[in-house]
Amino acid sequence: MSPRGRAADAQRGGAERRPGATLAETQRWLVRLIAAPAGVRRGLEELGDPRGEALAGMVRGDPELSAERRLEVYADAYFRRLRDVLAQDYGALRAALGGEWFHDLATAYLWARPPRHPSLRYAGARLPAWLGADPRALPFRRRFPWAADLARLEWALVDAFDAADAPELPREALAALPLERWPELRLELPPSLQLLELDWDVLPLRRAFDAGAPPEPTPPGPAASRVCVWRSGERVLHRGVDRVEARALAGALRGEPFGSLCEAIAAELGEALAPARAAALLEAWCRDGWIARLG
Amino acid sequence: MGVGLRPVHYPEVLARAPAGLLRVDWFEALSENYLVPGGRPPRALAQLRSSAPIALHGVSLNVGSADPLDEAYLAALQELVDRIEPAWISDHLCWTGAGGHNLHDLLPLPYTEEAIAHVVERVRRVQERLRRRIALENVSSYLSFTADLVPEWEFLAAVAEAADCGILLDVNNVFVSAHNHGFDPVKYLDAIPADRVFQIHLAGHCEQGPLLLDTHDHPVRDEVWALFEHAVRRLGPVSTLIEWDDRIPEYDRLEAEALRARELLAGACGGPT
Repeated sequence: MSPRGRAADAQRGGAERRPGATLAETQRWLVRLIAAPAGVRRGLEELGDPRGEALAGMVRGDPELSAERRLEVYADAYFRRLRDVLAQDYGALRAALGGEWFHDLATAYLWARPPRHPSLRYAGARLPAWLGADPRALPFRRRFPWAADLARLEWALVDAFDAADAPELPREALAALPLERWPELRLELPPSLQLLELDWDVLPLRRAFDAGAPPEPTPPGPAASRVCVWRSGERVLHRGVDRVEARALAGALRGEPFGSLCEAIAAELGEALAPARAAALLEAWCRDGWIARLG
Repeated sequence: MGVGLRPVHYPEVLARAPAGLLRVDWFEALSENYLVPGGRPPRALAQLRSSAPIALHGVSLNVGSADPLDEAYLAALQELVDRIEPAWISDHLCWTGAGGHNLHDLLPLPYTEEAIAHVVERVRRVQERLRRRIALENVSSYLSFTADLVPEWEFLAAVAEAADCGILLDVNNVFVSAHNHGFDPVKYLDAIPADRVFQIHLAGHCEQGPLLLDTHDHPVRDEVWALFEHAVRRLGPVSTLIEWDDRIPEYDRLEAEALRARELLAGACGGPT
């Protein structure tokens, strides 16, 4: 079977005990071989069984299909299944990196951060942090410095898809509130809502992907941007927010009362402009379904 | 007769169920797809549950692993069970990972005394935890162990008897594994304790070189239909489900497959089901 990517070649596992008599040893040995990033053959070499003798002593082979070939069926299925899941969760990232680089990225990530959660849904959960900070992800960061930000955006969309449900407060409920209650009022935001502070302008890449268009030929530039991701009903949505809105939204996410949000807005815009902007933001948040309840 | 519930079919299923327009009797939902806080899948499942029975079918119990049972997973499953009140719960007689590394695949166990004792103890604990009997499904496999002391069917029967659990008999998996390991699928079916079979699975498979792969991306093959008829002649009218997970057809095509199973079952068992 073919090697699984240049990035993975540099990554070797430590010595592992040969298969012993116990179920635990057998299973750990097989896991190491099935998940070996450069294939079962390289895995056997790294585990000190280059001729596959220990494997043949454990897994039955026959003239038509050796023990190694039988294990490769599981190894190939492992990488194909997980790469498909990552490609689905990180569709724009895959489109922007291209198939070969994404393949290498997925292989290196799976080796560094193998799936631990019972559900495939979470297999890609650690990709943004790994891509953004792990030394083993350096080749990808050098080539695609914006990729970790795009991964963060796409994982936020995944999380929003099945975040806990929340009601959307009707506009009339806001209008009915007496003025004196506003300063102490806390806006409860839906659990799906996430505010991302990004260093690269990656939103156009995701928009192009959503529209079925090819990624922009020019890579994203460095530009501080803020994106809000949320779900309204069954639709996962995202939009850019400016600095003032982001500051107020961050306060609301921390559970600060509306009076504090207004002070934050005033610190950005000045006392004169703050009330109108606060009112406009409240209107927009209500329209977008960002207010679940008032507390 | 039932079919596996897949998100692509939510619109048809949810529209037809309350109007009584479904031609199947129940659905099987993949437990892991619904162990999430909210959103469309849990809502769709709850909606369907109000008009049709649901069985929960898991892939992550990892009952054959040497790792400790995943208590967080079991707690989440229990919460789902409380919410959905499924007709029954099933998972696989296999291991899916070890050392904390989840391979997200269904790997066979060595058919040894050690493995039987290990799995039996864990199935009992799971059943106590969930306060109900579960059913274990035989998996398709592409390798076997030199340490095997008994054939797969004896292993499955021994675990089911000793753990006092049910069997989800996947006839396609019997066919696939029989081909891959060179045993007689009829001998397998004839050795299964009939009183423990809760349910039957049928699915499609494909060929890859000398192996058959359990891909769930084709209609049920004629050879598997024939084995199904043989199985139900012996087992009687067992609840049967069509699984189709890849290259998923239109809902009506899936239902048609289930209706074929119903006809064959009625023919084999001598009456309507």
